[in-house]
Amino acid sequence: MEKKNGKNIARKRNFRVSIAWALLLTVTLLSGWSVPALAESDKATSIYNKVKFLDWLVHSSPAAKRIEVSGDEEAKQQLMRAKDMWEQAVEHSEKEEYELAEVHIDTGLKLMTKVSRKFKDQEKERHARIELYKQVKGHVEMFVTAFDRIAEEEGKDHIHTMLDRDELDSLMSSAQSNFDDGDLVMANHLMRQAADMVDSALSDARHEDVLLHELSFESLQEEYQYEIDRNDSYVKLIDLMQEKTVPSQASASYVARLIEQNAELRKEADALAEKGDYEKSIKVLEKGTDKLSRALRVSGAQF
Amino acid sequence: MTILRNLITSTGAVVIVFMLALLLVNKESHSADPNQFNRLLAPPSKRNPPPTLDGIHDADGPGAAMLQTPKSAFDILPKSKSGNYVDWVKALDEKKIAPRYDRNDVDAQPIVMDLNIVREVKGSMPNVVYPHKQHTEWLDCSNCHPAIFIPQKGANNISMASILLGEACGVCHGKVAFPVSECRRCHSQPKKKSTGAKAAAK
Amino acid sequence: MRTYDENVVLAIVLLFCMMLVAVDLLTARDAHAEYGDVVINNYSDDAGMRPVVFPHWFHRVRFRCKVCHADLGFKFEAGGNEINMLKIIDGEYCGACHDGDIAWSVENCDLCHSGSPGTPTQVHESTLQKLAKPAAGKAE
Repeated sequence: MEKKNGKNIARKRNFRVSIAWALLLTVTLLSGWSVPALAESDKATSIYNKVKFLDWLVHSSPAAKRIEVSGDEEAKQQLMRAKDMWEQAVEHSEKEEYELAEVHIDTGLKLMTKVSRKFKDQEKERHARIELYKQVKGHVEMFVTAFDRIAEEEGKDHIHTMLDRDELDSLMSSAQSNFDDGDLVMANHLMRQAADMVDSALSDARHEDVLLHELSFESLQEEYQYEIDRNDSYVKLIDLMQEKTVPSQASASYVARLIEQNAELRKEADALAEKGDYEKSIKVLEKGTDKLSRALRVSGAQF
Repeated sequence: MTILRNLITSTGAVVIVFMLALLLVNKESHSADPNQFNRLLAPPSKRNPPPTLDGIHDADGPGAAMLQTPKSAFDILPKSKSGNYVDWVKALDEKKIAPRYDRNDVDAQPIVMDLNIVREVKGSMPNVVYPHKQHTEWLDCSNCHPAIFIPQKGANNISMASILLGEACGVCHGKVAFPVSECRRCHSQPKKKSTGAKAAAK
Repeated sequence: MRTYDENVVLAIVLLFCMMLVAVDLLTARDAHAEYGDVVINNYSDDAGMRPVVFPHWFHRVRFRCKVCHADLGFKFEAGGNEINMLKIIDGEYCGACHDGDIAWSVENCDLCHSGSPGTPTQVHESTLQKLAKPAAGKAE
């Protein structure tokens, strides 16, 4: 009797355990099943967007218009093919054949990429080339001035030899004449060569040099202005950081106190400066900036 | 025996509930232990997360899953303590990466300027050493001059706040180049008692 | 055949794992993308596309800063370059390399447009972003 009961109990237990496992398995499968369903709807949206874009690209984009007026038969053929790809893509996506639709869209996009580059907006390109020429020319002139200044300061004769002025001048003048004639590509090419020449010369002149930029001021007034600017930059940053929540109530009030203290110190510094006592004013400003540094660090700036 | 089994089951249930509570409460920290040392600091395993888990890429979109995980690229690169956790300058020096200097020409070499600018700073912080060499290996002169830095002594006022605001050095450092949380990488020249016209040491 | 106790232990472990997964999926994730990732959302939201996530790290392994920021005209400003799909197809900005020759071409929409919808333009994980909320419109 006991043995039979024992078996019954064991069977009931095993049954309950199997139910539990089945439940766990079902829940896992259910969660796994929902993910592909999301991906399907995403694919449809993605294809829809791509089709819309290709539609605009082959029919109404400036690139398509430029190709149509170009007179280049081969390019027009490729544009026709791209339009054809779009039509097929629309058909396939209506039938929900997303893989095929994508293949056609991709081909269409690749075609348009290759073709439209041959028919760039001439006016825009010309404008960009002119801007580039002016920019590189300004760069060369600035660096030549710097080079001359260095050669003079160092007083070493060999520095002058690092830059062949005659060659540089001839490069620049031929670049300018090309520019005036309208050959912008050549002009930019020559100007780029001139820039590389000056850059190399400058790099040779300053090779392994160390320049010390001392914190020295012409007058106390200048140093006072420097400290004002420095304090202003800290105020600007702490104002920006005020929108962020500080870690705790205690630090919030501490930060507010520090900001207030800086404001008072600024007033004191202004008063001292008006009296003409710049030295004391500078020290007061430095104190104020230190207070703001602490406030920034408490608020989370890492420096 | 039944009592023991019941005890095991109930302990297990309590453990699950407890761990769940801990996880939900400590969402920000990476460990379940509330007294974990450095509990808000992301451990190395959580740094450089893959695109599907990084919170910026849309994990449900098709793109995120196709993108390369940063860790696979960073494995062979020298490590650093901030930013990407990669020392990019060292990676270039050790030739672990070979980024092109010209869009089409694979062999183009940069014109490197080896010039150090030592900027004296107020207070007790060591002076800042700005090395042109490491910068010109990556950038062109026109990237900084004259738009961001006027190439003239005394013409550029830079404060820590302005860097944090994204001006001057902060145009790149704190955005793409290493952030300014490691002071010594820039403030690397201790002040001498007397400052001469040109400092000797680099 | 497992004993009752073994079954119980296994069930508890599986349930615990499932709860971990559920918590992981349900909790809002703090965004910790790669440092230097730039989210560009000038026109994407209006066009119904996901915003673009530009990964600096991937590109700096292959190109020096000068190539994009000096030669191709990219400004040092997230969202500060007027980039649109037509310009890319015409070969400006991203299209200078993503043309099917130097790098893959424009048909791979989802590789660039992979951001979470609605993410504002930002340099992700930048110091300024971590210090303060971005100003309305273009962020640093």
